[in-house]
Amino acid sequence: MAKKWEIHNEIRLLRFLSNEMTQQELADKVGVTRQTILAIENRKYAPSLELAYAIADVFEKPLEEVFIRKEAEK
Amino acid sequence: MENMLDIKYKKAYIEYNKDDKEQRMTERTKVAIGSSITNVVWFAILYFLQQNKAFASAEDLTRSWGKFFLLLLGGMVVLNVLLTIALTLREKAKGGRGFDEVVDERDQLFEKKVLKNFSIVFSLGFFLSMAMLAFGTSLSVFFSTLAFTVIVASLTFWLSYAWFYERG
Repeated sequence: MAKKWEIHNEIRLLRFLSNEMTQQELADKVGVTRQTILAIENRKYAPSLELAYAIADVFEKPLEEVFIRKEAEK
Repeated sequence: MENMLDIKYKKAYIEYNKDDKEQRMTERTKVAIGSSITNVVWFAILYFLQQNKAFASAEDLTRSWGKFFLLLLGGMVVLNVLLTIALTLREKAKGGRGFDEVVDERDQLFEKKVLKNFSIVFSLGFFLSMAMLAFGTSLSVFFSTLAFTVIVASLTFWLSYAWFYERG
């Protein structure tokens, strides 16, 4: 049976460590709305690859350090 | 990654997390709910007036229903525009940003889903109206069914918007 995966992210922590960047500031940098950043952080919306890479570029981190795949809890 | 935080930063991080609160309702949700209400009220007024009319001929009836639909659709658009302007001005007066100028990928995804829902409901209602006509019901019943199709499809459109934006 195929494993089920969940995608988590460290965006909120990375924002905090980036001089307490606000969601609006990150949204402006990647060209989306604040609500989209909030939805991504709360795992209510899965960004496109393009947006995911854009967010990773803002923090100067590889994609795998921003978005983390974990096995879904049973 | 949370090991990156020293103990002295953890308290600041907890406080930082408290600041990022979602607004109680997004601007688009307010417009969606407002538009739903104004559309229903406008429809009710027009439909009530239409029901109280008497027609000398089938031609008069069809012409009157034609005017009804023009007023209904035109009124819905105008009311939506006025509502959007009013809510944006109110938000900006309170010091907010008003409507986001950016329409991003999430907005585009929601628009596609909303249009899909609208199309399904409208198609079903239109099909039902045509079926009633084919089975010999009166023109009044046909036009009434079509009118209710328009308002139900419109409600589906706006309430889908509200649902997607609130659910995230």
